[in-house]
Amino acid sequence: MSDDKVNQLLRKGEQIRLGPYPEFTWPAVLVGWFLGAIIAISISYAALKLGFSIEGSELAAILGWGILRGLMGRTSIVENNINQTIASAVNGASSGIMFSVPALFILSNKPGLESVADFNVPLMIFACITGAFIGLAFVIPLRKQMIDFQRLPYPSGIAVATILKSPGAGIRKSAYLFGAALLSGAVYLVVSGIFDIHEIDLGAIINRAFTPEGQETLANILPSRYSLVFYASLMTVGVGFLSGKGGFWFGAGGFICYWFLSPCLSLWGSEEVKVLVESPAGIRGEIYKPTGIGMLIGAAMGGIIMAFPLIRSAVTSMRKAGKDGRDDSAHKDELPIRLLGIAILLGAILLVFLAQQSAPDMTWGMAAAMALLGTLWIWIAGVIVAECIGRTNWSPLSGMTLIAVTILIVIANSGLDKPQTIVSSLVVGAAICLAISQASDMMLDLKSGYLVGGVPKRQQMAQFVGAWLGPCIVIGLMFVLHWGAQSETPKQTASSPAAATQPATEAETAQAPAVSEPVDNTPKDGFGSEKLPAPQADALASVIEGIVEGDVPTYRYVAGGGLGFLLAVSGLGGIGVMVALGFYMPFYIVLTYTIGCVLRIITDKTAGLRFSEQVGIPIAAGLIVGEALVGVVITMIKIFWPSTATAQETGQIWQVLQSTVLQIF
Amino acid sequence: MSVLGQTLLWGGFLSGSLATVLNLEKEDAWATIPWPWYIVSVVICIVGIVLLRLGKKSATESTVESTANLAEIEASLVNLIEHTGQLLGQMDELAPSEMTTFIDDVLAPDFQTFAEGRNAITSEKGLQKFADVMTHFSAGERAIHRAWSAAADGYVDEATTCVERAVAMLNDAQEELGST
Repeated sequence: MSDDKVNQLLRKGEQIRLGPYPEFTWPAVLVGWFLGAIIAISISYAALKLGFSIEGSELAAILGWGILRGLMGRTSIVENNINQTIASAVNGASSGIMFSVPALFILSNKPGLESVADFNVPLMIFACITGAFIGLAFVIPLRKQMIDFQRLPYPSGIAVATILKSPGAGIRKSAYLFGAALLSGAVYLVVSGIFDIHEIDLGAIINRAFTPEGQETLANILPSRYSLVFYASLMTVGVGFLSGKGGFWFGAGGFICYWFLSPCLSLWGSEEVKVLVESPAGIRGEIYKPTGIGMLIGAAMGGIIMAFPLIRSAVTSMRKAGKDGRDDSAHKDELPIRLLGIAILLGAILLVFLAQQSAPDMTWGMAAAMALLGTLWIWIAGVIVAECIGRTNWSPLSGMTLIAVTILIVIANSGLDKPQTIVSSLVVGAAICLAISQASDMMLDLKSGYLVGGVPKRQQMAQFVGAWLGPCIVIGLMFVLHWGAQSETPKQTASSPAAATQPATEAETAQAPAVSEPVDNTPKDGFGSEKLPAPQADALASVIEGIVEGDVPTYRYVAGGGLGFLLAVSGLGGIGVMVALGFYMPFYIVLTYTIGCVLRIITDKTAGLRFSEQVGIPIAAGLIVGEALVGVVITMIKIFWPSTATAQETGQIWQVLQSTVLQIF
Repeated sequence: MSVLGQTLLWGGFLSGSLATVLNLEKEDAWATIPWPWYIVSVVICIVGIVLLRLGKKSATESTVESTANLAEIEASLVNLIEHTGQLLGQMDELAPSEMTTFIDDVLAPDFQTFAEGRNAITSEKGLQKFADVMTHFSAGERAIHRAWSAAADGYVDEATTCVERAVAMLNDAQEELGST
C-alpha cells in the first residue's frame, strides 16, 4: 500500500499497520502459560470442591483480550487465538486429572488398599504428559475431515471465535455479543447463584395447575417418568442454537429414552423397573447411561469404518496438493502426518515403560498389553469425543475414561494384586483421560482458529507447548490441597503423600474387624472428605471398586454397542454418536438444548441464513460466554466464602448480599 | 423403498433398545438382555439399512436433483472467484473497515451456499474429488477469514496476501471441480 494511501487512511481514523501479522509470538506463549496456570488452578479447585469443571477457552480469550490488547498494546486477533489455545491446553489437565488421580487417595482409605496412595508422582506426571501428546497426535489429522469437510459446528469454538473477532466485528455485532453475555450472566446469577435454581420442572408445574383446590395429592397429568424438566441455562440454549439442525439427533436420543422407552417400561417392565422408571435420575444411572456408553463405543467403531474412506481421501488430497506445484499452503499449513505417526509410536513405547514402572510386579508383557490397548482406546475415544463435542459441545469424558479403566483393570487383574492393579490401571488411565481431554480441546481450538484464519500448524504446535504444563501444575496443586487439608487436622503428621494417607499396618488392619462398631471408611481429611469431596473422583473410586470385584454391566455395553454400530453404518451421517449421547446425558440438558436447535431451525426458515449468521450467532455466543464467566465467579464465591453459599441455598438474598459485602470489606 | 427402509431401521432400533433396557441386572448378568428378541430387532434394523442404501443408490443414479445442486455450488464458486478477484483489485482503495464489510456482505453468503451444498460433489463426482475440492475451498475460506482478521487489526499487507492466496485456492477448487 502506498504511503499516500496510508496517510489518507490514517487521517480518516483507520488503524493501519504494516509488516508481518503477529501470531505465534513469545507474548502469546507467556500470557497463555500464565492465564492457563491461573485458570487450571481455579477450575481444578472448583472440580475438587464442587464436582464439575468448566471449559476455559472463553475465559482465556476474554482475559487474553484484556491483557494482550489492553495492557500490552498487542493488536492481533490470531495472536490472541494462540494465547487462548495455549491457556486452554494447560487447563485441559484440570478435568482429566481431577476426574482420575484423586481416586487413588480416596481408595487408600479402604482396608487393604492403603498403599495405592503411595504411587510414583513423577511417573504419574510423565504418564499424563505422554497421554496428552498421544491424544493430540491422534486427533490432529482429523481436523481436515471434521472441520474442513464435515464442517461440524463446535459451538464453543464458534463462541471463542466470536469473542476473538469482536474488536473488529463492528458495534452492532459486539453489542449482540456483550448484550447476550450480560443477559445470560445476569439470569444465571439470579436464578442459579441467588435462588439456587438449576432446573425448572414443567411437569410438576402442570400437575400442580391441574390439581383441584383443596386436594392434597397432585394430579398426575404428566408422570415424572416423562422428565419434563428444563435445565435453567441460557448457555445450553445458545449451544443448541449454534448446533442448529445438526443437533436434532442428540435430542432424539433423549426423547427415545424418556418419551418412548420409559413409558414402555412402565407398562411392560418388571416391578423393580416400574418403580425405577419414575425416577429419571435413577433409570438413567442404572440403565440408560450404561446403554449410552455402549452405543457411543459401537457408534464410534462404525463411524471410524464409515469415515475411513474420507480420511484416506483427505490424506491423499493433502499429498496431492503438496506435489502438483500449486500454492501448497493447504498442505504446508498442517503438521506432517509422518511426524504425528512417529509421536504416537514413541508415546506408545513410553507408555509401555511407564506401565511397567507403575507396579513392582508388572511384567513387560502385561505392560505392553496395557499400553497398546490404551493407545488404541485413545484413538477410538479421541474420535468419539471430537465428534460429540463437535456436534453438541458435550464430551463423554467420564464414560470413555471408565471404559479405559475397565479394560486396564481386566488386564492388570490377571497377574497383579488388588492395590497394584488399581495403581497401574490409574496411571495408564490418567494418561488416557488426559489424551481424551486434550483431543476435545484441540478440536474446539482448531475450529476457532479456522474461523479467525489461524494457521492450523501453529495452533497445533501451540497446543503441544501448553499441554505439558497442565499436569505439572494440577498434580502439584492436588498434593498441596491434600497435605493442606490434612495439616489442618490436629492428629495428622503428614510429611509425604504416603504418610499423608496414613497407611495402616497389617496388625492394625487385622484388628479392624474385631471392633464392634461399623467401620466408617469415609475419609476424615484429604480427598473424599467434607473439605475436599472430589465428587467425580469419588464416583470413579466406587466404580473401580466394583470393576475390581467384577461388577461391570458388560452385557448392556455389548447390546448398546450393537445398536450404536448399526446407526453409525446406516448412512444417515453421524447419527449414531448423537443418539448415543442423548441416551448418555441427563434429559433436562437435552430438552433445553433442543429449544436452541428449534430456535435456529425457525430462525433459518423465517429470517434467513444471513440473519442467523449476523445476529443469531453473536447472541448465542454471548449466551455461552456470559454464563461461563458468571459460573466461574459464583464458583469462586462458593469456595472462598462458603457461608455465602449456605445462605444462597436457603434463598435468603439479603443475607447473601450482606454476607458478601461484609466479607469483602 | 426409502420409507420402508427408514421404518424398519427405526422399528428395529426402538425394539432393540427396549430389549436392552427392559430388565435390571439378573443373577446371571448376561440373561438380563432377552437376546432372541434383541437379535430379531438387529436383523430388522439391518434389513432397513440395506433398503436405505439401495434406495440411496438408485436416487444417486437418477441424477436430476444432484446435478441441480452441483450447478448451484458451481455458480456460488464462480461468484466467489469473481468477488474475491474484485476485492483484490480494490485492496489499494478500500479502507480496512470496508474490507471486513465487503467480506461479510459479499463473500460470506456464497461461502455458506457452497458449504451447504458440498455433498453434491460426492454424489456426482465421488469421494476423492470431494476431498480434493474441499481441501482447496477450505484453505481459500480460511485465507479469507485471516484476511478479515488482519484487516480488522489494520494489517493491510497481510490482508492483501491472504486475499491473493484465497483467489489462488478458489481457482484451484474450481479447477478440481471442473476436471473429471
